[in-house]
Amino acid sequence: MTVATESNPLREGLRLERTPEPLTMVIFGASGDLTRRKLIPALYNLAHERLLPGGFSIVGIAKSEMNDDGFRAAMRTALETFSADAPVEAGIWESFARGLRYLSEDFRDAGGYKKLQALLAELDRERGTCCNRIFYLATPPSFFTDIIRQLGAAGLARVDHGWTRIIIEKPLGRDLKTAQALNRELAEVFGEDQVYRIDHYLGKETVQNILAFRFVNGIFEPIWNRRYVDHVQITAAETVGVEGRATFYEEAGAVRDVIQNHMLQLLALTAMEPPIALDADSVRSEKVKVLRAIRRPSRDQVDQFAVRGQYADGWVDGERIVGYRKERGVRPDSNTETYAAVKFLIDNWRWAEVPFYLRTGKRLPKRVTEIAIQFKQPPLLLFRRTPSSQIEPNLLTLRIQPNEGTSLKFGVKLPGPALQIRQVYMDFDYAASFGVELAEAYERLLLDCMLGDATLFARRDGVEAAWSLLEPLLEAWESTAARGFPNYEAGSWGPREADEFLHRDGRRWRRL
Amino acid sequence: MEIRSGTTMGLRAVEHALTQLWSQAASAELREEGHALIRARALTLIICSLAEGDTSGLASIVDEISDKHPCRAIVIVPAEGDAGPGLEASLAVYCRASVGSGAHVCGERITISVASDAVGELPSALRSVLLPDLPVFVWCRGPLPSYSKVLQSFLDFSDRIIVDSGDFPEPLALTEFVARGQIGPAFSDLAWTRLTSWRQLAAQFFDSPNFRPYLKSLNHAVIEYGAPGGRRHGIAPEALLLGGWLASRLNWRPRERSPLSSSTLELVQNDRTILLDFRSVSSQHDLVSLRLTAQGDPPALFSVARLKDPGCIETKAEVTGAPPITRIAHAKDESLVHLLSSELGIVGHDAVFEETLLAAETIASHVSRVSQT
Repeated sequence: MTVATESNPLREGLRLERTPEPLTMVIFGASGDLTRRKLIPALYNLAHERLLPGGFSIVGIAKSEMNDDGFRAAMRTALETFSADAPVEAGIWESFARGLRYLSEDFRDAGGYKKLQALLAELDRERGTCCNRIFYLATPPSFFTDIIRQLGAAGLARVDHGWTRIIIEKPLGRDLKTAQALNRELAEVFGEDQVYRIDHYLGKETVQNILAFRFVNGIFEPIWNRRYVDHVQITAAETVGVEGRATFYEEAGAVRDVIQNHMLQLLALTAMEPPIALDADSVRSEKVKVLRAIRRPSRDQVDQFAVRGQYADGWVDGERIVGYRKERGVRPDSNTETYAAVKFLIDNWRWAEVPFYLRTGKRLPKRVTEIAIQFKQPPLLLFRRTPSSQIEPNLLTLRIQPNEGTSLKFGVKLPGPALQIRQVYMDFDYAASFGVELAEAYERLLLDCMLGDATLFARRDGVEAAWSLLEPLLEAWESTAARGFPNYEAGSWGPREADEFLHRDGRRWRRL
Repeated sequence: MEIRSGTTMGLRAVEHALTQLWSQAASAELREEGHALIRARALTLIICSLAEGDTSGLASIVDEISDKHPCRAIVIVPAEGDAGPGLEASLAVYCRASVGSGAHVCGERITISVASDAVGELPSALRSVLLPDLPVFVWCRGPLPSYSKVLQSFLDFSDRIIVDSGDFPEPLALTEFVARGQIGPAFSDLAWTRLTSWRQLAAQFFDSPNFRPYLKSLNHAVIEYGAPGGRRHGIAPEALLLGGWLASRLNWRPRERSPLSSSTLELVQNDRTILLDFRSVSSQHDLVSLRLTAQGDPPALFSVARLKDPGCIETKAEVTGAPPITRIAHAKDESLVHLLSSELGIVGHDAVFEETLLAAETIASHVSRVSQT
């Protein structure tokens, strides 16, 4: 049969969203949490919305003993527990479940990959999956190398017909050296165009809105630079603690868990130059350029650029919270930071001397992720009779979660005979403006990978640039015990040192 | 929360009265909920119900549409009796929890009652209450001929006009407007919107590189439609539009000689003949199934069909000698609110719809020749 090279004329026009070619998704670690909580609900929702091709199949691989029916039952339960859209429709589920298969295998065993190969060929014949594959590594990172090598050895990484892609989740290494090693392992088996590094923040509607906001509206770009911007604050605050992931978190900490990936992506999207096109490489190249332009402090300078913290006992959401060192699985003398605030300076023409302050922490008073751009005060304060404290700089806030939206703070005259100024917010709120729920990040990301669009995935050089930037900080913090840990109360906004950190620059953290 | 104007008023007073109503609403919101009222508007939606007397339920339709498309809704209804001013407006502003997200969504509704001798004043009056700089959508309810004069006047300031040819005695009456090309507003037909799932599922077969070559060897298309509730004779508009879509996308042209029957037509593409069959079956649904047969080595059959479960559609790709690939897909929400919401998301002409409509009209005129002979 001839392979079609022309486009599908029935797809032309509006309203018909592009859907992928038939494929099989192979999930390594299919009995784990990620599959149950995120992947299966996302894939089912895509099937429900008719965005998956007919014959779409999933092969789950894990060590747990199960057969196909057992896997289907487990995934049905997962869907009922974790899917935002309830209830599960019987007809849709049955159709979806017909494509689920399971292999109980050790990831290090070459025999398992032979069985996988045979199963994939069977699915091609029976379900028309056209030799298209996505391998999703939903496993702890310690298994990545084994799986990648075995896929290569079994000839599954590259095929003569169809396409093959691999999705890996963070953490992508634990420092520059291990990230580079992982990338080398991947490069020996897969081409960079086959590798999709997931950062689920990039799948959020509100994060995608950053590019739309900046480059659809002509009024913001002229002021999006050092002439008008005083500084940028990016906050990713959590109220939760380690939630049973102490073993992982003890080795990671706030910088590796959040700053190295999610927050640097937010910084890159905020600071990047307009791309020449909206294709994956054009966008990602601009992001990498920004990361490479960030000043890399030496180890001796780390204290000038960063503050770390660890939470003590306190109260969050009306609940008494024990300090980090008392959490199960955490060492009583743990040096791991649960809070980090870092100042980044981008040495390029657009942003020279405009600090980007990033802060993240666990057991803070609120869950909030936002980007706040504070503009400079006017060059001359004309309203001398108005107390200067009433005149505040303009602030543009991009709220990533919750209360997704955008707001602009500006001053207006209070009605009345006196010339009094009051700050007001012009607010766009996704929920109040469009009363619809925003799509889940994983749905968008999985669909994009199936469609071969890597725009929302991290590229090799971007990952390495982010690690390179943080290397001095990580080395400094690992080699010296933190003074005064734990140094902030759970339910507070972090250590006092973080406030002093900004006061030194004549600034303060936003009150959230 | 909904606050209404206590009295009717002339259209000149509408903007001022709306400002006062919003002020009341904001005070109430602050008092009861403790926060400021947030509202956003993305478009003006004019609902012309001059031909459709039953306006009950319109308010709730507007409310639901506002969830996704916050708007100023202007509802035009016939005046009761002939006494009183030609045009009178009553207003309502509201805030409610969205059905989807539970978020607070606010909107405004202007109801204009029009005496029969004041229809000519309508376009000018409407211009005074349109939201500046935002697109204007007009939804005309009921059969086209009964408001075609009013429709002509809407062409000036509308960005999109939405009708439902399922309500028309002549299903393709919209062709006259679409044939004007890119001049003037875009047109939407809810009968076409109802086809989106079908078109998507049909197109998906041929996303597969293994099946795409079959597009060039399709030789038979069968479209089954339900008896259209006795409202009209002839082929259901959805069926005609589906046939027109296939013909326009795949470059099928009716053969010049007479069609084989009042429901079967021969089309050609290059030297190849394709039979297009419309079949009426007993069903409450306008569209029941689509079957595409392809020659080839081996031959294949692609079908999309409603199941007994009204929420589900089955797709099947059967290549001779290979196991069939079947799938149950969720049937898209075909409620009026959902259909309208889909159309309100589109700005600009839908070229595929316009080409489909012209192709469907060609098909309809060919089969009608047999009916007349």
